[in-house]
Amino acid sequence: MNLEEALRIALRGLRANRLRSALTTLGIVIGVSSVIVLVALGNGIQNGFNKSFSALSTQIVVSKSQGTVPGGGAAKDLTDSDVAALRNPTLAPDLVSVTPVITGTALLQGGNGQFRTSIAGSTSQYLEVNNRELIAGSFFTEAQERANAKVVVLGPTPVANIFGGDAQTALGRQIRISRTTFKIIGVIKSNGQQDDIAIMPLGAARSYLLGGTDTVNQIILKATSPATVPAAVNEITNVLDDRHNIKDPAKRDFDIQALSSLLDKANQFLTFLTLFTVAVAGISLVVGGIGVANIMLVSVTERTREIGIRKAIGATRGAILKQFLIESTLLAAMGGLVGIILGIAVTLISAAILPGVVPNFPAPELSALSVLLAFGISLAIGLIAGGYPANRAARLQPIDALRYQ
Amino acid sequence: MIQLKNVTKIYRMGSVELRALSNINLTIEDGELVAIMGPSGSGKSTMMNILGCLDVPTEGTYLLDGIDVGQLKDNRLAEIRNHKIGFVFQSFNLIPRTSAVRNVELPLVYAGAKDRRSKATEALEMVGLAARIKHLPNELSGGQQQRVAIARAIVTEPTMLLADEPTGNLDTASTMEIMRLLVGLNDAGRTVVLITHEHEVAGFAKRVIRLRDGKIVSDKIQHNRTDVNAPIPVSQYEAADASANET
Repeated sequence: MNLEEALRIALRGLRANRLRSALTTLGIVIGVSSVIVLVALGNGIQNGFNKSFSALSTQIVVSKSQGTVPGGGAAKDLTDSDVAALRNPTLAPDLVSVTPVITGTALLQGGNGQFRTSIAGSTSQYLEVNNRELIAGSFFTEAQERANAKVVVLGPTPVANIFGGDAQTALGRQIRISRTTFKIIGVIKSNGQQDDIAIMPLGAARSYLLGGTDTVNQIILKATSPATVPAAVNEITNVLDDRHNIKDPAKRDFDIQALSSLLDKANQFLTFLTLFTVAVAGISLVVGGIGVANIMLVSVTERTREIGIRKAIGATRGAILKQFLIESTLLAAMGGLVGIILGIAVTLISAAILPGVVPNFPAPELSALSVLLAFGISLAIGLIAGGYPANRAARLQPIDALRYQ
Repeated sequence: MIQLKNVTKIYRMGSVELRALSNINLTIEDGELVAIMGPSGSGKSTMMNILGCLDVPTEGTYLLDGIDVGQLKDNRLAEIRNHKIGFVFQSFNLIPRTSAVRNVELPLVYAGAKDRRSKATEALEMVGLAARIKHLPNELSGGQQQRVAIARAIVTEPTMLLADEPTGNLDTASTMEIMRLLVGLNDAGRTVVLITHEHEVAGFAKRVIRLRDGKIVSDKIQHNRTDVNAPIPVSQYEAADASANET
């Protein structure tokens, strides 16, 4: 019996019970489409995560150790000369930027009232190295930085407390910080973490607010690429060890933090999470497969007499086996196809709608592999679920089958 | 040629042994028209199953065209049924929801034959159903369904046509149609084995074998067989019915 005939016979079997066939495939449809949608959502979240944090993957933060150094005295401050040494390309070739930051707090006055906030004095690169964006105005320039200009860029929290949250109102206004008047030239976008902040040129912060001559609280550095982060960390350690006269690594008075290892962990975790949700969707595929097996068993019982007739007129075991296997595989494959169409449709629709409804929600991204895999698995389910019923049909004795009422 | 040698068939149901056939010796030559008769429980159906290679004897040998059927594996038996035997059942046994021509094609499908559609159409023309090849079984009358079944039985050009109570579910007119077809096929040289308990049906046979309790009780050549083309007088039916009641 050739394949075309077998297909015709199987299709007739499925058409004879349209509703039943449709309901049976529904299990597969739901399983396949949920695998596709969940993989797409997981991919979207992971890619969104990587996109928003990729800038941070090369970031290294150096800060003074807290408290006393074990076996030594007070930790040495980080200074402008440390920054200068780190900027030297022969000492630290794997760094692209070195950004000093000084921090403190000050009282802001203006608009509708007053508000105490964190102050950060830094360079014009601050925004970029911290992976922040502006929602209004602009950041201070290198010229303003050199001139110690009295300009400030506010975070969303002080804007909310002093200007009622409207960035456009705040923009261009004068504001008193401690005893000095600054001009608001920009407002940064919220990232949910460091929103309670006012950023100004390093020199201006030193001269008017925080005092000090050459100390810095933090140095934010960027390696040339994620791959060179370990080398860059080594270079920084050597430069600072040398400058701080440290011979024993246990007595270091500074901390170096690289975010890349943390990001790798987070990424791994996201992958596990995606795998887990897909496994849950996979359960519905298995349930769908059981549905197919169940209906095929019913079908074999219902058609016992037909099987008997077929055997009497010369169908071999193989031919009967083939007939029922093709029928169950066809059932599962149709479910798989409809599931793929539904899954892709849901993914595309949610990619179009979700970002509008949930801000910052990463758009789902279809994965060709998941589509192929889900379809392949549904075919395999058809074969496996059909295997037992088909085998039972094939082994029926023709006289018993013919006598069956 | 069909040869049964000391064929015994025993069914075991739990501890009970049922001897459905015992020591049957029988030879049916090519081109014969044999009726196998007997009351229910006489072993007719068992005989039919064994002759049709649906079942194998417990003891003894069955040679079909010289092939010892009892020694064959499942797949070879299927092949024998496909090539050498054409079945006609009492309840027609057409595949439901499948057109007449598809039903007739089916044995050719399992045989892997070519030109299936034209051969099936030819067979349907032979039984006078050329106009109804696309009809589904439930759109055909009983007689028409049985004619489709006969077309299906002869489409592979088998050695033997095995008809199990072929007219059991049919009215007189349809019975005559079917018998005309079967006798015609026999006249054309095909072996026909009829299993029946109706005397008027057995009346068309050239040879009548009677079974009782799994044994052959008589095996006679019928010299005054009924002519299929002659109208059957009503009285003969009554007489036949009367004698059927006696046995």
